[in-house]
Amino acid sequence: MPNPSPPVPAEIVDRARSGDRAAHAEIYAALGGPVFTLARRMLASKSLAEDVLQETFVEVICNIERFRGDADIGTWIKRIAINKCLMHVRSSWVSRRGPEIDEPAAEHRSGHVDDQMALERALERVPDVARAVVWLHDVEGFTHAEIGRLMGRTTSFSKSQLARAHGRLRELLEGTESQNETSLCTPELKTC
Amino acid sequence: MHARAQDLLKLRELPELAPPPGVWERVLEGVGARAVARRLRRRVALAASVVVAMAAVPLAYVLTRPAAPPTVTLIRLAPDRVPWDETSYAPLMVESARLERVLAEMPAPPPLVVGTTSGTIVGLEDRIAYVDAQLSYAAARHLAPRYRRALWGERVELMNALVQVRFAQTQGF
Repeated sequence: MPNPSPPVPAEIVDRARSGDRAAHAEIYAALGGPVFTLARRMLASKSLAEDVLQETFVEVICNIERFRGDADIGTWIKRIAINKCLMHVRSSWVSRRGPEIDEPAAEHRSGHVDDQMALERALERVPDVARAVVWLHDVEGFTHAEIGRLMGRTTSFSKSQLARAHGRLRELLEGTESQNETSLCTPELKTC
Repeated sequence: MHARAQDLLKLRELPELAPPPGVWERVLEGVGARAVARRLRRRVALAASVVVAMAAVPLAYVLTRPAAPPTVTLIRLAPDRVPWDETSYAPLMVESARLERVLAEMPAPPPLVVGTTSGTIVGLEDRIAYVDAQLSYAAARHLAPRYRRALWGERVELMNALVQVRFAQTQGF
């Protein structure tokens, strides 16, 4: 089951559907963070995540009157963001670039700062598709079948990408990295 | 498993990131731009539909215009009006001229016509032209009035048929 998003009161959703700009802002305030986090983790790029955040909420506001309310609005918005992220993942530009290591947001760090920083950096160095799969599976709670459908691939593809991501994360976290896997990724062969 | 590898299970615990400043303002700009684009598309679509409608009205008029009712009342079969006279063909000439006027006053044929109708009209016009040639020959050779009356009678029948077909054509048949 997908990771639940912060609840948004139905009254705010109703106002948003009727075009209330203040309600739109309230929805952004509640879900902008989760959407940006999702995009940043899946894409490992602050600039791309900003683009996804912006494009997602433009689409949400322009189409919110079509939101029927039979699902949580957070789930609906995250689905839009995930599709936009996957579009970026599928694009050749993302596949060709190297890992974009953004400076971690220090204001959020406390306690296990080192571990979290290490995990964030390791995640950013996982190949694009595998990183998207591990985030969708381990954090957002999607099943392999759902991930396969989202990516237009098979369930087995999702499983193999998840195993690959876990293996890569272990290597990076244990300091046993033997080679730069990114250099092995060839967009033409869709290996990343 | 190495202790740090246990962090694999802690992806969910990674902190939520705050949206960068300025994104909401860009969202609003994007929404505004889409609204403008949507209005523009609607106006273009409206303008296009108006143009299409303006073009369609004359076309629809041509294709569906009703025939003038008076035309129907003007059409009379020649034998009903022409007194039978074996030697005089003057009434037939008058009737033929009247039918010529009726034909001339009929609206122009639509741009798209049924092929069989068009063929019938051409056939009738050819036959009328042939009768006219025979009438010219009869006049030149001073043939007997009875023979001329027969030709004028045939011409009136052909003209009647032509008027009927042309009338049907204006009705969209």
